[in-house]
Amino acid sequence: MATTNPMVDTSAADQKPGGSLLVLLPASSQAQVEPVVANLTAALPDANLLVATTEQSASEPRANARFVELPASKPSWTLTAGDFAHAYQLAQKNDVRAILMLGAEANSLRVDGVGGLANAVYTGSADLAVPCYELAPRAGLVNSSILYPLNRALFATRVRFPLAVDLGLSLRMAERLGALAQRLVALNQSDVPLWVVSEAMAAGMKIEEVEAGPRHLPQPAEPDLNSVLPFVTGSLFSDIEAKAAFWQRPRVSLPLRRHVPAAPSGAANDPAEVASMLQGFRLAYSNLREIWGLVLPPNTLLGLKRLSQTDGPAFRMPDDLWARIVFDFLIAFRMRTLNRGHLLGTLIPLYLAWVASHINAMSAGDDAERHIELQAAAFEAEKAYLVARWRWPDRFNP
Amino acid sequence: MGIRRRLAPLVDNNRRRIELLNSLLLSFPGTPILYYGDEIGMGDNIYLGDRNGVRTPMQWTSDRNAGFSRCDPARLYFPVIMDPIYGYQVVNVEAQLSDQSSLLHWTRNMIALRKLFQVFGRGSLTFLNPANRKVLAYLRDMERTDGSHETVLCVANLSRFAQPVSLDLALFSGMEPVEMLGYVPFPTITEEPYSLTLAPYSFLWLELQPAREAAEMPPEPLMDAADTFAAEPVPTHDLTRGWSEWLAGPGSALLATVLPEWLPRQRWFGAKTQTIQSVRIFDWVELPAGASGDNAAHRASEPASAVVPPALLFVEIQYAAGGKDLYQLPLAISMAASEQAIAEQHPQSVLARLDLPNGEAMLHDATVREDARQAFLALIENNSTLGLLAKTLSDAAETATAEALDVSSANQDSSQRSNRDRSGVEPPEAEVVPVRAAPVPLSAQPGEAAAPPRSTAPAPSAAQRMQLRESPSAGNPAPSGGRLDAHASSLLKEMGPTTHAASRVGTAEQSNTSILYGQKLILKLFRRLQPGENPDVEIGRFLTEVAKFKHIAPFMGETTMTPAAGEATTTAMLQGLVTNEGDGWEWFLGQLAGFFEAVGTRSAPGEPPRPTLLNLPKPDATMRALCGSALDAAALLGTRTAEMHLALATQTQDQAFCAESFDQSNLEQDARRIETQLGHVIETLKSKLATLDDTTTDLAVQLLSRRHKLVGRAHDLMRLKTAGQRIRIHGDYHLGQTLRTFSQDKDSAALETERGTGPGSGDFVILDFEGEPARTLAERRQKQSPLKDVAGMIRSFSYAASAGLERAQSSNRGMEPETARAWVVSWERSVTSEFLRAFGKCIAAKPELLPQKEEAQIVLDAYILEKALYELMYELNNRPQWLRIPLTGILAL
Repeated sequence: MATTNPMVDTSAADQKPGGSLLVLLPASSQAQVEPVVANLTAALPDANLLVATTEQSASEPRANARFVELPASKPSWTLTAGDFAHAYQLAQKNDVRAILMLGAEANSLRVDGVGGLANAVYTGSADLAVPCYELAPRAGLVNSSILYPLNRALFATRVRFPLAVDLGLSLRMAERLGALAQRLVALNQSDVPLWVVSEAMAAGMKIEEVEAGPRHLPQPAEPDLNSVLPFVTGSLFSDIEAKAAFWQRPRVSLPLRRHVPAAPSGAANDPAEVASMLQGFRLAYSNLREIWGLVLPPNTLLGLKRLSQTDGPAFRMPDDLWARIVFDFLIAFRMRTLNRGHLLGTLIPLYLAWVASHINAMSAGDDAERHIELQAAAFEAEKAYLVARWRWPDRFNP
Repeated sequence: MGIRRRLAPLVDNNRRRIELLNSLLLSFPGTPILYYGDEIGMGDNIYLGDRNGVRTPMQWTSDRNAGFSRCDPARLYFPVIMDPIYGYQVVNVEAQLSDQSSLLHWTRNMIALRKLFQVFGRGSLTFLNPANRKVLAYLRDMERTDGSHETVLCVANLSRFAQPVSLDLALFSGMEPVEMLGYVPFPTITEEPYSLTLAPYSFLWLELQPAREAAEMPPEPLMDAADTFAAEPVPTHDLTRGWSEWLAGPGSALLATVLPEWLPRQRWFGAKTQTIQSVRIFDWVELPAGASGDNAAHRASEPASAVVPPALLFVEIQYAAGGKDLYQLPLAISMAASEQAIAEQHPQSVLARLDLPNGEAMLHDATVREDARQAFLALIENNSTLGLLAKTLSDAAETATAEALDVSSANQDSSQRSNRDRSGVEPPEAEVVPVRAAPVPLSAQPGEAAAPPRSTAPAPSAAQRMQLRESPSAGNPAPSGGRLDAHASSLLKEMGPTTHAASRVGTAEQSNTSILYGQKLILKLFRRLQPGENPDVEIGRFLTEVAKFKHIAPFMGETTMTPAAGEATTTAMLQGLVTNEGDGWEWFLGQLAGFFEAVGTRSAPGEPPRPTLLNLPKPDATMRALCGSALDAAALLGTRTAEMHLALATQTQDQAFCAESFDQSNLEQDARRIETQLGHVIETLKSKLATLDDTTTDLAVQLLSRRHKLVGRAHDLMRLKTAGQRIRIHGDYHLGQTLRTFSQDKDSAALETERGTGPGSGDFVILDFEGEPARTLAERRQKQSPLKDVAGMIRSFSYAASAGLERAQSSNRGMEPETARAWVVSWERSVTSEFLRAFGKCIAAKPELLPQKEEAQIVLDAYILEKALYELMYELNNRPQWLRIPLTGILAL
């Protein structure tokens, strides 16, 4: 090349050979830190660890682990913009090769899980390492019904937990997220989550999913669906809106995740629980129909009407109907058809209907993961509908 | 003149015409500007005179004064429009907001749509010329950063009647237009004219996408069958009998179908804008199993009949517009767990899904698999020679006939095949026989003893050529007459076995594929193959094996493909990885940042004289205090440059490297070349003069006025009788071709100790001897004066100085521009002076390389002029804002 465009193969310069692994434990107590550090030492015996915790003074010194103080932040059940900003600031100050961010209760992670996450970024094989947790069939259903299918359909990634609480980051990934986080912190939004997977996809970074095994997931301070669902979906919808020019490019469809069907867990279906969800849905159908009419097209409303007349174990929400409902809410969110808080509030009864349908399917012998995969496939199939409506949201004219 | 009418009354308030004109406005390059009110179709008041007719109040609502003001209507500067067609009671924002089909909503959607596609603002514009002149058709195209294209076809019917149109879109054959407003797919484009029918005043925006991808297809409902990439699995029963049978059967047809779509999606594929007409398998060979890797373990668990080792295909690609290329394509087939991982992590690598008798498999680029990467390394470590194979048996027969069946090994092959065919009994499996190379004598041609000789060499023995025919998975292939030779350098042998090192594919490489083995080795797999030996390999081998020059990425080995009839071609190069702090360009920019900080608010220095070989002023104490590290580094770089040239001038019998006299005919040739280049640049500069900014225009005019003087510079070369010696040189030498490393030897440490910067703080390694990619291989291999590399580095210092200045000014806006410019000139000249002084001191070990100082300066000036002219042309075509750098450089001569 000419002097004007000096390009060099800097593959070897991607990583600092002697750098340490920065481990951030923003929401962990002293009792949780020790087992995590022990697990990491066992998984990466040759690595130098730089552990950042909010309770530095109480930590025992170790041969290959140094402790630094992490600025205290508001406790959160997810990794927040503030955490990413701190991570990047610490990485800049220290000779760091890769970063591992672990959410609260990270001590419940297995050695191979935490080691796999760290290894992926420490060896430079990935820019972003995301865990795939083994959760109970009924756990993480907001993720399974909305976050995972939406991320998969729009950003063409099969990452099962887009809002994972444990992450491995390469330096360049941390830099990108750090810059994004700084902007949010400057806007006084340090407690919002970052959608790292879509960010990595948009930046062309390499993502690796690591089998992390079972994990005890931290719970929100107020584990109330009425606040959690609008919070999470609102944040995701905003991210999708910001990246519209990216995800509307034609993408390649992904194969479904391979899954070994779990043996029936024997967990008995509680008919009262399902009945209560369905009752909530039917009540909402009679009360919120007018509001849903602003958001959902007539075909979907017809589908909901039919559903409202179904009861008990026969209740099933078709996969494509749920995909279109989520897409229509996404459009309404973008168009500000009504107040965004109210809008996402009206999604809750519909979500409960999906959960009831999912539980019924499991009770009938369907594999939970298989149902979620088929649901995700339906989102992919309906993506054209979303793009068409996004580009021309002319009410519901065909 | 200005805007005197609004759009709606100009087009008789015809909604379709308004939309049509807005669609043209929004799809043309640049920034579209709408006059206020046009988004709702407001009218005008021509009786107000001049441009006041369109300055009427914005019509927000149907209230008093159209919601524009609450004042007394009589007090408005201009009255609101009140006629029955355009009056504010009918046409206003409030009313249109409540109507989803209003012009306001339409305009808003169109603007949002335009913003989704960068191609509208930044892409190129190409008009198509349909026979129906009432239809305007044009293409907008933009290359994205990942190498893919964003292409939009815009078609507008300017007539008030429906119109048919046929467009020649053969270049986009296979693409699928998708209507952008509603995301509606249209029929796929073929080689035939593409027919459309347009309603009166209608328009279409069609995004050209690769033919319908699986993304838009509903996934298969069953999980087990859904692990797919391609739409349908291809029945491929013959694969179980090896690559040969498969390629002779359905494989060729499958590859011919999928490769034209798959290749343009690969980052390393160079002809993305060309339409591939056909793909032909030129030669192929199966890669013997390398060291065990993760995937090898996966494969071991699969049914033995389905496990097929990776194969290396050489495919010839014929383009619709003419011309063809030869590409190297390693392919592999993966099953079960490997398939899942590959589809997820490397979807771009997958060519097709195969339906084998024992399950589904995936055909993909082999570089994503560990065992294939290890196989490449093992080939080189073992100095293997593999016989290339014909695509089909009939191809082999043709080749054999063409070669008049005079190669003994081929005869042996065919007789053995006949025996097997007759008896039906497979001969015992032959092991892969590595061809061990003899040590390379210093006097020998680089690689001569170790690597098999090239075109004039005798063919490898039958035992070596046969090896793959006996592989159970290779089927029953026939040799094509070509071969693949791998050769390890002496350094690799010293290093010992390396196959245990885990490998990965590098991400920085654009046009080739780099494979990194641990932290020690990097294999550059050349994708597009150009006949002949790659200069990077040739020079790397010479410097490592013969000259023992340490300041390069050490050459570790290579692979070469020699077809039955054709030139030996380098297919891969193995080098040692160099731990570094980044390239020299970035390092010097970092130094400049520190320099500007240190300069602070000092007043401008006096301008030092331009350093020449005749006069090399020593930087004063101030400059040494401000940029001592950069000065030392420049001196070290000068030493390393001279050492490189001394190494390249090592006495040898090798005609490709032995030094030659730089006589008058060579000088005249150089002078003519520079004069021609000057004429070409001057003409281009004149044609673009009007487009330059004022400062650059001043400099450009100065250059134009000095045309004769510059021609004189070139002609000065012809006055010389000799100019030292011509040797192989780097050929594309600049800071970006160096790596800043930690100090390796005593020289640099001693130099730094002497300078007081402390020992071991840094050194330089020189990279990439490929030469300028735009030139032919023959041009790149020509011997030239070492001063050509020196000129390249001097120009690179100039670029670094300007880039550093620009960065400093953007971060410190308080800096006085003239003062900063004076300091950076001082920096550039001091650094250049140190570089030249050290170069001159070191190169003096072989005084015959350069002429006397006076003559050497004339040659150097001529080469600096040539390099700066090249840069000038580049900047004229690509970055006019950087034109000032080469212009200043030329004017300083």
